[in-house]
Amino acid sequence: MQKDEISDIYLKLIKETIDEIKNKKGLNDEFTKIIEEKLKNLIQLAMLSKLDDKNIKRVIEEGD
Amino acid sequence: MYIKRLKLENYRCYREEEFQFLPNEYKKNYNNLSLIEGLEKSGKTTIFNAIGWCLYGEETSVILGEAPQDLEIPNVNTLKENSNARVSVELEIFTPEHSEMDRIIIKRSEIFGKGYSKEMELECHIYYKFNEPKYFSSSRNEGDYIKKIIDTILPQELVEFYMFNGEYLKRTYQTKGKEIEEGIRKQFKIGAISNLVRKLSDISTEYQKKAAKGSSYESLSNQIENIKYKIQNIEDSINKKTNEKKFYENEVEKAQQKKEELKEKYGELKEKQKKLQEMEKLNQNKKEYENKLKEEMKRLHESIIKYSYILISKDTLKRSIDDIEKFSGGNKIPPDIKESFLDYLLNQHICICGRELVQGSEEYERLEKLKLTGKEDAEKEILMYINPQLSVLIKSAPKIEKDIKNLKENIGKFYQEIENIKIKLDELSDLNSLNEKEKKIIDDYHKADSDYINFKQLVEEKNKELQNLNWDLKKEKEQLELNLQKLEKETRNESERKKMVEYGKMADILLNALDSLKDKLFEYFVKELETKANQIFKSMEKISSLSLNIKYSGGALSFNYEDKSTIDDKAYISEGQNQIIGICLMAAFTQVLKELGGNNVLIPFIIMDHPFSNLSVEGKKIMAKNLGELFKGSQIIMMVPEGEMDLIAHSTETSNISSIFKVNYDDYSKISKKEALNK
Repeated sequence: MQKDEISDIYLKLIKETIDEIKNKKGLNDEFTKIIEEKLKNLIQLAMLSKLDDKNIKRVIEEGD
Repeated sequence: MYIKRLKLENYRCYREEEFQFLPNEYKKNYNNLSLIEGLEKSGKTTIFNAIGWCLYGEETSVILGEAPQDLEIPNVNTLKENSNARVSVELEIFTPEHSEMDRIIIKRSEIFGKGYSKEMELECHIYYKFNEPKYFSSSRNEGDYIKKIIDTILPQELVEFYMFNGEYLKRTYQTKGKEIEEGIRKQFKIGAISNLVRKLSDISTEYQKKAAKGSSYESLSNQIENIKYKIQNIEDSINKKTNEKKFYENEVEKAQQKKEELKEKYGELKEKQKKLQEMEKLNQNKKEYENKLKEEMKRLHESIIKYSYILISKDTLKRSIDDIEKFSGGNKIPPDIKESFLDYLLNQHICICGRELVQGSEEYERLEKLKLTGKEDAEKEILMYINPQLSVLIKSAPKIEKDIKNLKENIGKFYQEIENIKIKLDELSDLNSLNEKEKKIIDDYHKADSDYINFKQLVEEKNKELQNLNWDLKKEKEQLELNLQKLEKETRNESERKKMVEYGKMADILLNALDSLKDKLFEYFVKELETKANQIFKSMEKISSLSLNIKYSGGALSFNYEDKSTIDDKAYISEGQNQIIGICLMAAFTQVLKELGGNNVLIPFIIMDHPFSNLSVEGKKIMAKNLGELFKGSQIIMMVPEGEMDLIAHSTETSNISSIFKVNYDDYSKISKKEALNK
């Protein structure tokens, strides 16, 4: 997956959102990193119009 | 995006015309300004409207809300010459900023007759940089797909940001806040994230359902524990019943042994008891016969006493009758007959005449006297009645005799019976009644027999109970086996379920993050648009002192302008200022899109019809000069009135100009024609 297709502003706001969730839910660094990675992958799918259930589930379940 | 060429066929004043805005070697990232000059009604706005009609099926002015729907689209000459006219507009658009797509050709055709129109075809050719081109057509039921493609690259909701009509300007930003909000979401792919949020929500629900589906593990475990408990109870009952059964079987055996022990003696005693009962019966019979005999004897005695004189004198009477008949002439009655007869009458209280004889009566005394005296008078009197009375006697005698005979026979029979019983009793005379010991033996035997039957019955009952319990046990064990198998499966499912729970949680976290992110993105882009617009306004301070505030509420955007040159918040904003607002906002949007849109976001071309019509000459010059900076790297197609082209062309850099056209309308032929000018 081409991660560089996400623009800087997306990356900036993703980081901001993740930090909020991390503080709100008290997530540890490792889990936060996993969430961030998955979030980027999902946005990538959305940008590439590849939002089928199979792809989304793969992102959620990968690394299990 | 750059419109390379626009081809019109039978579209309003154009019969067949093609505008090539870009050379084959166009300048990427340059302005690529195209100017179209012409007099009033020469066909400039027709070009502006044709682009909207090609893309969305409605002319641009209609889409912008600046003109009503007008179906007089077909060329009047063509319609005059033919019963109908096929109208078509074709746009060829370069997409150099896209990584895959090279260019796209969109063509809309429609048939117009007198008073009707019929959409013919919407076609789309997509040419790729590295792949084979693709063709789509509404005639192949791909119309919706083509509309989707157009909606992706040029959302109709944002048409205000790339198509501008300065002559019929209205502040559509202020009335189309909802559409612009949707357009921004589409253009910046926030819509795709909203779509992702919806899908994640469905997927999260799916995970939750799967997680809930596998949750029978716990209930199954409880069920198994219950079954095991039941089995334990049944097994306890079986043990208890088996012990009871053994006890009863033992009792049966004991009773049987007892019976065996007493069997012989009991048989003997039973025989003796039978004989004793027989003897008792005989004695009873004897007693009955003796009573009967006694009664019969009494009756016999009575009969003999009662009828003895008849019976004794029967023969005598018979003879006397004969004699009376024989001696009737002499009126003599044998003395024995006379006496017997009189005795009979007296005893029977019958007078000689046959009536009742009352003792002590005169007649009674007379008969007694006759009996004693035997006078001849009496003899006569007797003789008068003797015959019939004697006949009665003689007639009744046989019956009496028969009765007596019967009595005697009965007596004889009874005697005989009594004798027979006596003989039998004699035979049993040495039989003694049962003593206490013998009675106990019989009782013991009976008790053993009763015990034997009762305990045997109890053994059978226990057998049945055990059978039922074993059946229940079998069933419960089968159920247990089944549930254990299910549990084994569920144990595997449980691990899957736990995974589903985890995935569901993960999906929810991502869902929340994306939900929050999409709002942040939207707010950010709107804020950027506002900031960028205000920066542009500031750069135009020579001709404008405007500031913009964009608010988002109730699902719509509202654009609020303030003229800083006045303290009146609701000061009138002139048409010229409105034109500056429109152009600056288009520029701000284009710049935000370029800076923040990310890769593969297509930057729209800018079409402006009479954009400076209400500006002063100085204003026109400033705007024209700034076009290059405002719309850096974007294509601008600008329709300007006759005489304005020189001003604009001289105010901007010549290198930015790609093409210049002049359109002329021929009143005679009613046809507009273009003329490409040397820049």
